[in-house]
Amino acid sequence: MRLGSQIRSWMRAVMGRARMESDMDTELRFHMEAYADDLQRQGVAHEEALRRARIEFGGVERAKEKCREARGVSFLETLLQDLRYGMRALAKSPCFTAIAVLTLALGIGANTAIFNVVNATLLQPLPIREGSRLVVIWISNLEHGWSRIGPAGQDYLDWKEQSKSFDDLFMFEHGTGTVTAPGEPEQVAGLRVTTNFGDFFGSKPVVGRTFRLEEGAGRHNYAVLGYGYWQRKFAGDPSVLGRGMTLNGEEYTIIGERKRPVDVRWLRAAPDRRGGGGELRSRAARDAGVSAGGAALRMTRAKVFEFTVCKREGA
Amino acid sequence: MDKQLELLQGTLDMLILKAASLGPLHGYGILLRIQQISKDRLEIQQGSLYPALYRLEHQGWITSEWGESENKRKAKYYQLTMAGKRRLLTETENWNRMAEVIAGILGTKPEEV
Repeated sequence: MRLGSQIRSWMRAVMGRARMESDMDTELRFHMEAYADDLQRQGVAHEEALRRARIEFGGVERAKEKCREARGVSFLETLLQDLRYGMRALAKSPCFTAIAVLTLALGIGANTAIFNVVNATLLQPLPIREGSRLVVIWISNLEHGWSRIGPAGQDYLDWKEQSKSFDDLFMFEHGTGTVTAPGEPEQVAGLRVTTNFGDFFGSKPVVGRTFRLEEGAGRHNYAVLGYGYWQRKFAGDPSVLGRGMTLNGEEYTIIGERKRPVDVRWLRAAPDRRGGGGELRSRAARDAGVSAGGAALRMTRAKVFEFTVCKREGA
Repeated sequence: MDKQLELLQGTLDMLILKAASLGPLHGYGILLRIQQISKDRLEIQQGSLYPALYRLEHQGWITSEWGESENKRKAKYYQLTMAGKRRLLTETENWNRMAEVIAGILGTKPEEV
């Protein structure tokens, strides 16, 4: 069977239905008249010859129907008829139609919504550099019955120096703090991070900058505001850059405003071997650091591989 | 005239292809040619000819063209395509093999089994 000829005959059938019908009429009439002519030549009377030609041909309408079928036209015609019938039936019972349409709309809508969520959280890669290789490291100490707690700042520094399994490490802690100035005191959610955080989540600040690596060792505290917070508190005023803010009783300098991650402030944290790390260590060891690890990554659509690093006593 | 044989199912297509292979013919001409070659021993329902022609054209074995008949009437002429010629060869071969096998079976005598 050749596709080309089929398509041509379907096209002819659909485009020139009227023409095809009249062609078919002409062809069948020619047949009967030619036969009648032959009969007349054999001496049959004109009227009688036509009558016999018609009888011997058999049912003309049936033959036509079979011709249409042979061309594959009737499939399309039946389809169109069914469609028209369906529309009429639906129009006749508007209540049923409305419920059916509503059901379909809700079903499709729900599916689309769920797909969007699944697509955004599970299927799409992280919007960061090599997101599929990003993992969260926890510490467990089975002797003390601790599982999945955040590492201490000292551990972090050791890992960063000595680990060969990871390209780079950063540390973060999720929690809330109280801003007492400027303006009314307010409790806000935020992340305390090491200064190389920006290397992982490559998105650029809307205004200002993120942390510089060398700022990790300094005495100053720096803050990057979340976009929403910046809009709400400072009405999106870019001149807040360089101004100070007081968080948990400590002075911070605002250096930038970011769109991501969601609505959190980024706060500088400086784990180092001289003093500064002490605070981070004690804080990071708290539960907040642990659950926040998972939460922060879910928030940024991570494929979370859970590494549990067993910490030996004295290590 | 002997009693006419009824056409075996599925054989009309083959006969049409054969008739059209001998030169372009209109539907009525194809009918006449088959009857002439078969010496009127086959009974062909005239109305069944056209669905078969349309089917063969749809499948691309034959093509049609409007022309003028011997008595100056508008008539549709059919002729074989290249694919139709190949088809006729295969069908003929299959038919001959089938006929041979059937004849062999029907001609079997008890001592040959």
